[in-house]
Amino acid sequence: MVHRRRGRDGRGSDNGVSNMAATRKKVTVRQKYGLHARPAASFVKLARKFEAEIILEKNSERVDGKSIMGVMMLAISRGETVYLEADGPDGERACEQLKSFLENGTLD
Amino acid sequence: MALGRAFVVAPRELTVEQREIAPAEVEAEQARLARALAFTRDEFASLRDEVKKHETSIRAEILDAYMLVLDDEMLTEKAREKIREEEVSAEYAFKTALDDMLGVFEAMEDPYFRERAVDLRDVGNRVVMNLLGVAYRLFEDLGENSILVTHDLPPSDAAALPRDKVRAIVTEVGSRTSHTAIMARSMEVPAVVGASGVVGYVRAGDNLVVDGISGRVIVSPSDEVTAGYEKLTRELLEEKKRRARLAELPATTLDGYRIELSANIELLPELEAVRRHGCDGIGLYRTEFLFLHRSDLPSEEEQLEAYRRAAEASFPHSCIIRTIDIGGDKFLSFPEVARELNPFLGLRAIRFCLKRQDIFRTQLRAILRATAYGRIKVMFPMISDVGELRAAKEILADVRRELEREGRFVDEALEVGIMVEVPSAALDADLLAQECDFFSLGTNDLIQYTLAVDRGNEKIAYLYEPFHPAVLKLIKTTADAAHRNRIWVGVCGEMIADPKAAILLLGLSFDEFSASPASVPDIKIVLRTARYVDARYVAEQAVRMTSASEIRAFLARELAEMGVPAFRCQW
Repeated sequence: MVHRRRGRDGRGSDNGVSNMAATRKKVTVRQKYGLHARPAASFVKLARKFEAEIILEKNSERVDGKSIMGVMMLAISRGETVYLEADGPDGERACEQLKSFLENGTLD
Repeated sequence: MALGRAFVVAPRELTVEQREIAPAEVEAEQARLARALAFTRDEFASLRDEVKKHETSIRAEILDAYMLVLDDEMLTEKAREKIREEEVSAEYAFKTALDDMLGVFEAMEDPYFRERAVDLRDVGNRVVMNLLGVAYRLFEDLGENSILVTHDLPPSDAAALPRDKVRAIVTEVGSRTSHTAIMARSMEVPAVVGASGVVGYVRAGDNLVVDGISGRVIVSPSDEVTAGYEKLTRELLEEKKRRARLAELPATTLDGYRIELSANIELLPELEAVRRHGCDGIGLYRTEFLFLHRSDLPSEEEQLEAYRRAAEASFPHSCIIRTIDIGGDKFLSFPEVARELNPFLGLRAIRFCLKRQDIFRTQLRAILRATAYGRIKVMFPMISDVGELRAAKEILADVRRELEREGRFVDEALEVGIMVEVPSAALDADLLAQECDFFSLGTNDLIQYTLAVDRGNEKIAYLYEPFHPAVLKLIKTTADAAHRNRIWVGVCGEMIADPKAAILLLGLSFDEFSASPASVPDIKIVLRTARYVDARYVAEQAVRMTSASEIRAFLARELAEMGVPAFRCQW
């Protein structure tokens, strides 16, 4: 099962111009039922606020953090460990906020 | 519970033929897809706005997620690619692109994720229907008093459901965790999900009884059964209305004695019930639930956020935050906290906090900072002597100074109280009352410590006796000591859900009752039908009696005489 991550132009993102090192963080997910539709939607909405490219990775499978289908396809359950990667001028901040979203979970 | 006529929705299988297109049509086909996606998105947006007018969150959030799916690059690009490279129609391209992805979901182990595949198929069907120009008028012919019988009720259909006409929902598929079930609950419509074969069995127009509580659907019930259910439905409706009215009314006795009737909560989602049942704020926020089932500690910010929300939801009433009661039957999941042989008598509650001051101070910082957002009171659990209270207050004062140095706002009038749940605290109530602002009597623990009965042990459960004369003596001692020292006293155990206990504690002049939100209406009815002077008399008699059975019989008799409804006696 391979999901190719695609850039917004649909041609892949290898032609990205950023040469800054991407921020990478390890996160343990705390959402009660994992990242199913609603939490995934919240995650994606938050991710889309940033300019940086966001990658979510689980078991070496990498998806676009701004794609709800991608995020849901990782089927991330509570307690699982994933990697967050953000590449771009606001990458650091994006990583920080998304990490805190995943870690703090939602209370419902 | 509902009665009505079946409105049967035949399964909709959208068959989309593989239709090939000419290379010249590719552009036009791409444009059709884009239009259909935009159109569907608008449909969802207006549904969402409609839903948001009537209710909070869940249905609207689901529709939000759908809108994200519609402009998901991964999905739409795949569909565009199929049109471009395979030269197929937009509907075929979109449907197959979606099916490929759903296959992945359906293969997942986690049932929660598998359910989501069903939901996403719904999004896809909606787009395909718009592409095919199939008008979407599912509920147009729905009559009054309809019971919807369908194979599945995808969320976008559920969102379009006319609430005034649909009395109940029956589906063939779905489980307790499916969105259908979640949404039915949020709409307060009775629903039976997972009734396989029901669509083939029931004919349109059949009379149905749907009992959402037991999960039963009765087809063409006899007149007798119908009459029985009609009566029950009317009664439930009356009861619901009465409760809604009751929520607006204060917990005041017939002769004008006002009791603060507040809620015990563990988690924030309960705030909805606190509001709905008309509770006077929160009398006990069990904060340890923020700490359980996780391997790390909640940060100051995370705690602040939770306390702020509780305080805001309680306003203008107060929100009493109890510092963590870890130990006993609740354990942190990190390993430093070793299992004990006798945890209820061990390193628990305030004892744990005084030992692990790092955890305690973080919590106190969050509580003090949250005082900016409402009327917060802080309460220490399991205080057993004056020394412990002083030690806890000293740390609180130190944390307050620290915050003030940082220039943060802290409510100057913050009340500090204690749980009276250890017999020594009840016996020393006079001393403790001089050093705090209120008492809250924790009957659950007070009973088990006084009678030496583990309340979780079934073999001796019969010994757990709230009306034991010794327990009543301690309760009275505590209440009297509080009032002698001019502080207020509340009670926050399950005991008061029993009308006998409610009358007794009213008679002992308690100022506040705090119970689970769902028991608040019942307790309010008891208080509103009683007179304080009668309760005083009853309590004076009861505390002089020699056995629990005598006390119970006496209280039951008196309640009946007073005309207080004695329903839901728990003990």
